Amino acid sequence: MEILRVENLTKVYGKGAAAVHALNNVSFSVKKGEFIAVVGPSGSGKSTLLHILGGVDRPTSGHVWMDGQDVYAQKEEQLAVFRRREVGLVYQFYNLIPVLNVVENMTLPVLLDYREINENRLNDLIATLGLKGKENHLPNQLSGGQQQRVSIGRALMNAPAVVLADEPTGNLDSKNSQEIVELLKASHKKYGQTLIMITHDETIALQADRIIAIEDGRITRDEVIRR
Amino acid sequence: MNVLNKVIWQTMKQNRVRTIVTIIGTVLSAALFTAVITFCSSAMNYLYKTYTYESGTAHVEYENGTMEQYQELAQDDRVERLTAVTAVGYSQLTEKNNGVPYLFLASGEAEFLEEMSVRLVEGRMPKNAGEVVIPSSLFRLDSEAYGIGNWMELNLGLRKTDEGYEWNNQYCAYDAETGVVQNEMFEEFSSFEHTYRAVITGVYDAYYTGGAAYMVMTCGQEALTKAAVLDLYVTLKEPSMELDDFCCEHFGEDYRTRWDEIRINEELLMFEGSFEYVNESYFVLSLAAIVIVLVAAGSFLLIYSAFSISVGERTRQFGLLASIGASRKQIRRMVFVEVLTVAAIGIPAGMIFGVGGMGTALFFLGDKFGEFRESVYRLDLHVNLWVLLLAAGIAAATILLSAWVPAKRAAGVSAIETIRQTRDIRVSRKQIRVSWLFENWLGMEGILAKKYYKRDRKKYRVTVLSLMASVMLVFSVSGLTMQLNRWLESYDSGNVDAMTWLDYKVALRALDTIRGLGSVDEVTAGCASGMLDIYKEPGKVTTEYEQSEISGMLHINYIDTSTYEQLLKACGYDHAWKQYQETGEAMGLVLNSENYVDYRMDSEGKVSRIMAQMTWFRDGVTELLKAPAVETLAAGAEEVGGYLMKHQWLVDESGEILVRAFYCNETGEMVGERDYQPEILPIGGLIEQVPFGFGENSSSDIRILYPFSVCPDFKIDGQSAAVWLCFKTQNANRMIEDVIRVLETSGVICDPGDFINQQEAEKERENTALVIQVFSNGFLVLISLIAAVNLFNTISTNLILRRRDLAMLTSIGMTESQKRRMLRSECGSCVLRALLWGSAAGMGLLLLIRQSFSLISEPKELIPWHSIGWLVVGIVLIVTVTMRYTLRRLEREPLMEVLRRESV
Repeated sequence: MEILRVENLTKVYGKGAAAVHALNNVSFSVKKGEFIAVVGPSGSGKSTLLHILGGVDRPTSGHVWMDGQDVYAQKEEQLAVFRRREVGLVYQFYNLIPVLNVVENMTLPVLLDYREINENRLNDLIATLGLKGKENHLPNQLSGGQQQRVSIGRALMNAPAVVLADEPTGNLDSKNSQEIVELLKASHKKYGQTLIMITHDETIALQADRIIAIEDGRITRDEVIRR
Repeated sequence: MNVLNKVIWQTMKQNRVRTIVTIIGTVLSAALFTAVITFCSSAMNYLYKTYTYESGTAHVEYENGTMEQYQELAQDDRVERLTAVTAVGYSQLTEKNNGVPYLFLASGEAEFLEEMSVRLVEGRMPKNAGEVVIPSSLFRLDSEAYGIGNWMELNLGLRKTDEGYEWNNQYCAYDAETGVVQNEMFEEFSSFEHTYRAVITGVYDAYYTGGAAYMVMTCGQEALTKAAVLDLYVTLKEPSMELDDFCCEHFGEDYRTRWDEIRINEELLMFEGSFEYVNESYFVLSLAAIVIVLVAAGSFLLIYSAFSISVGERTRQFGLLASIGASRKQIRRMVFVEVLTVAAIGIPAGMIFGVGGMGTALFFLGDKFGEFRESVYRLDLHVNLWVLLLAAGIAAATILLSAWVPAKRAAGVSAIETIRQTRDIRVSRKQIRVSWLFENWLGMEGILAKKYYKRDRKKYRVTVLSLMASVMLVFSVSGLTMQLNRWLESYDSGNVDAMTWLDYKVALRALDTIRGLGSVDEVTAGCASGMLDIYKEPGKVTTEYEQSEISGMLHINYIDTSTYEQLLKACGYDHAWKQYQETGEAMGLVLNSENYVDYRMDSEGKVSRIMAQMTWFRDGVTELLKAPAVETLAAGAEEVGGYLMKHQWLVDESGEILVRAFYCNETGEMVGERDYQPEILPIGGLIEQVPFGFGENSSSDIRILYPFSVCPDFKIDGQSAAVWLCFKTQNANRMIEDVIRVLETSGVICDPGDFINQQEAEKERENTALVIQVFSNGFLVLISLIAAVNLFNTISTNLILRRRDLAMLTSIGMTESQKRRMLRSECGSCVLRALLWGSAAGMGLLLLIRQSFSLISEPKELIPWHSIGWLVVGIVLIVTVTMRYTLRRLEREPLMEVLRRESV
């Protein structure tokens, strides 16, 4: 079943002679529960694609359909609700709120949605992510790997249909990197989520079901390696 | 171009709004510094000019000089100018003299006349010993006899006492009626040494009109050479450096204690800027110091917060530069280059605005400074290079000082720390409890705001502090203005437009004519004389008065018959008027209630000023008991062989009221006592309304009013009585001229200076109020602008600095309205804190201000609500505008860009 469809997505930065096509007429679709690795050299447009999928950046033209809904047909306020309910974003630099502790950072999207926190899910996530005993720590009291776990926790807390990860291991050593990938894969399996991950690491890419390669804003390869 | 400077300038260009706002702040503070210093310089110049106009330019005056000393002083290189003057002699004015019975001839050098306070109003200065200038008061006395070109012939001599001491140009008592000097301490001239003839060449404006003689001046060396004693006037080149050495050398080391012959002109030295002579009570400088400190504090906070935030914002930039090899010194220099760039633009611009602003203010208000010091000059703008350098120096020092801490912090940034961003936010690990109320009231956004505030307190401290300082400044300046205005308003002249004192005979003779003048609406004449000791008789006096500590002294006042008649009739005592007309027997009218200002001391010795109101006697009282006259009581002293010490009231066993007098011997030992029967004082009635001219704010005296006709012999304490005349008029200046003309026909010469012109004083008070208002409001506006710029700067940069956090919150689904709510809560909490703490501190200042005013006026309100209202509205407005502006600016940046750029 299709969960995500991208049609003729184009993103242009700048104007006239200085215009840069970060994405150039990109189209693809994603099935529910798929794990996709997006690869490509620096500046190829991977992050732009991911941010547009996550509702963070608006495309210059084209459409993103999530669960049958045209994402960018929504108003700004609706888009914010979309971001907190439908997608979970994981960044390379964790992007945690420095003044909030582990639990507060993880539950932030739920709180922003004015909903009750699902304690079972929270405890489950804390246990799964290996953050037991660190609940009240602030980001600057955690290691890089731990901070990334919190950021994954935040992305998963609302049980989004799609998890988007922008080089989640780019800032970590190989041991921590493998652990983070394992965690993402585990939750992808456990909660049946769709996972789209940007990575430079070939071994990680090879663990995905499908690899999309991007170069100069165009898809140069879209290959299903595992069914 | 230095590459680091390029980085700085590029950064400044990129952060255009912050740079402009910081420059505006610098311009404002430099403008304020310059304005304050320019004002001080102008005021000092004005005071200097006024002072030298009145008193000349000499730093040292020596009265017992000789020709040798004169020549010795003339040789001294330190002396810039030296002039001498000598007394030639006195001559008696026998005909018209208007209370000044002598002419005094002084002879000086030509320079003396030019440099001292001799201001010609007509004619020219004398050129030799055969020419004189006369004071305008003498000219007015008889303009025909003393006209320019007329010859004067004076028989000159000296005034001596019985012991042979010479008299100076001092006060002497004389009888206006006879024009004869009555003081028997003088021995009149026994010999006239010589006759002096000279032609009058000019009339000068005499600043000082009192004394025993009109001073006529001539010039010429001959008199000086012949004179045994000279008055020497010395102006030094460098008085602040050389004065003490100079005086020790020429006048002896004890010169400071010989104040009767050597006077150091400290006021002049102060106005010339020799600060060791500054009198502490001199307010301009102390006020300026306070204002400069306030402005410096405001500017310090502004620039400190601007740079501290700017440095914080660029921590990563500095770290990056450090990582590629920039030394601490280079980084520190970078901050200073930024500071200097801002200063180089801001200070000169500020100085132009400051001088221009003060120039404009003084252009319009310069002539309204009369109340501070009567002067022929107006307060004009006076600036010189030193003044400008001082202003620039203070502004630059404040700016450099306030950038010092941020610069040090920037230099202390370590490369790896900044790249890892661990120092971006120094959060405290404290658990933060959020109250149920807070959670429910402000919701998720409020909680987030609270956590930001609590865990990152340092960053908010600057904002809160600068806001707090603004609140305090607004509180204190508006409080000060309010109290000053109240003080000016509280002055009550008792409806009197003008008044003067005259000899009683002259006054009574002229009163009816004066009353008939078209320009006089109303006039009363009165005088006070003697006191009676009245018994506080229960049943007659009010309980309030009986219990008070006020003594029973009744002050006797005499008023003119017409006013007495009016009072009697107004109070319905027509029968008393009739009786007076028929028998000449006048009943006293008692002013039965008094509003007065009282100063009370508490047990700790603290004095407080209160407005008291007292009613003395109960209705229907027609008789009072008074103690016998002192002469009667003193008569008993002879019997017991002592002196009258005191007397007191007592009630004996049979209930009879007596006055007991006590007598003592020369050693103060009590030697006896005697009882006297009190006397009955019949009174015509009690009156509630204070008659016109008696003033409403007076002392706690009980007053009884009689017509002049019953005054025993118009002598008060053995001296001829002077009475006051109080006038009501539409135009005091015209009325005074009319009255002067009427008095002239009675042979009394006076000038407008002999009148107290309340209308004029009122105008001057209004001018003063206007000046105070313009200056304090101008100051308030500029300080508020600095505070506003400061607030804009701190809040906007604080928000911009958090753009990554905000972007992050947006990326995980925070809506714009949620973001605004969060920031509103944050700003609200800063503003609330600043308002609370600032108000608390401001209240303290207000109390101090009120305390210092409580002894001179009636401070009713404490809090300038009006200003506080504006303050709150202003703060809310600025915060809202700043937030809107910053958020809009942040919205323009693509979220992804922020997230990515800020992560590098």
